[in-house]
Order: sequence, then structure tokens, then C-alpha cells
Amino acid sequence: MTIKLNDNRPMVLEHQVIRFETAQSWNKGKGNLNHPGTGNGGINYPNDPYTGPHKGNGGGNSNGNNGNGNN
Amino acid sequence: MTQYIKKRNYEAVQLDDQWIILNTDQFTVTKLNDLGGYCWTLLDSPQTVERMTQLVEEKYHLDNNFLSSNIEEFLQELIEYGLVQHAV
Repeated sequence: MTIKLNDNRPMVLEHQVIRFETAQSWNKGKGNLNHPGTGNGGINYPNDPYTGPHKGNGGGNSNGNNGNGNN
Repeated sequence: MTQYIKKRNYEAVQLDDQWIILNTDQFTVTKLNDLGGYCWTLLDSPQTVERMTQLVEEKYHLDNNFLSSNIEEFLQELIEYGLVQHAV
């Protein structure tokens, strides 16, 4: 994808398809696991959730406190 | 004389001197330069290439002898991306 730098005419700089995941994506969540859609060829949640050990904190920097309440 | 118009009033966001058009029918994102964004706003109503050329020249005072054909190419590209159609 190239970005042209000639601005004395109207130009399309980029054009791309949006890709995103939905409730019918690969990993189980906490929501409805019996989705009626067929977006994944009719197969809903083929992978069981990972239950093994996790290394570290996933790179996050949260202290685990959500909200802004006074403690 | 061929007239052009937006296929639908897709969401458009202006960021500095660029415009981002969200085609919610085809799930595409199209980024335009400032001049392209201005042309996009003109297409709320049917426009000919000649009229658009005139309006762009009035607003931007360009030194571009090929502006008319540039605009036509631009419109063809937007038609290809499903954003613009010929006005009936």
C-alpha cells in the first residue's frame, strides 16, 4: 500500500478491508456459548478455554483496582 | 452529462488533512486526502465532473490543468470501492 504525496488533486490514499472478531470467534468467553450464527461455518467455539498456568501478568500494568472509589 | 452521487451517506471522519470513509456495507475503510474529502462532501447531491472541477478550483485555487480528468479518475476509484454511483 503506497501513500502518494501529490496534493493538487483528489486522491484515495488507502483502501482496506476491516477485519474483526465477533461472538462467533475462536475463543470461549463468558457470554452465550450457543450462538445461532454460522459465521465460522456453523462451528461455535471449537477450542476449549486454556486452563493451564500463565506466565507473568500478560504485560499489563494494572494493580487490579478498577473504578475510582475512595479506599 | 454524467452525474455522480454518494451511494450512501457513509460515516466520514476528518483527521487533520485526511478523511476516513467507513463503508459499513462492504466493511472497508477508505482514506482520502483533503481535496478528496472535499469532493466527498460535494457528492451529497448529484454532481458532474465539470461542476466539481469548478467548485474545487474556487476553493483551492489549484494550478492543475488536468484537474478535471483527475477528478474523473478519483470518482471512478470511489465507484470501484462501492462508495459512489452514477446519479439516476
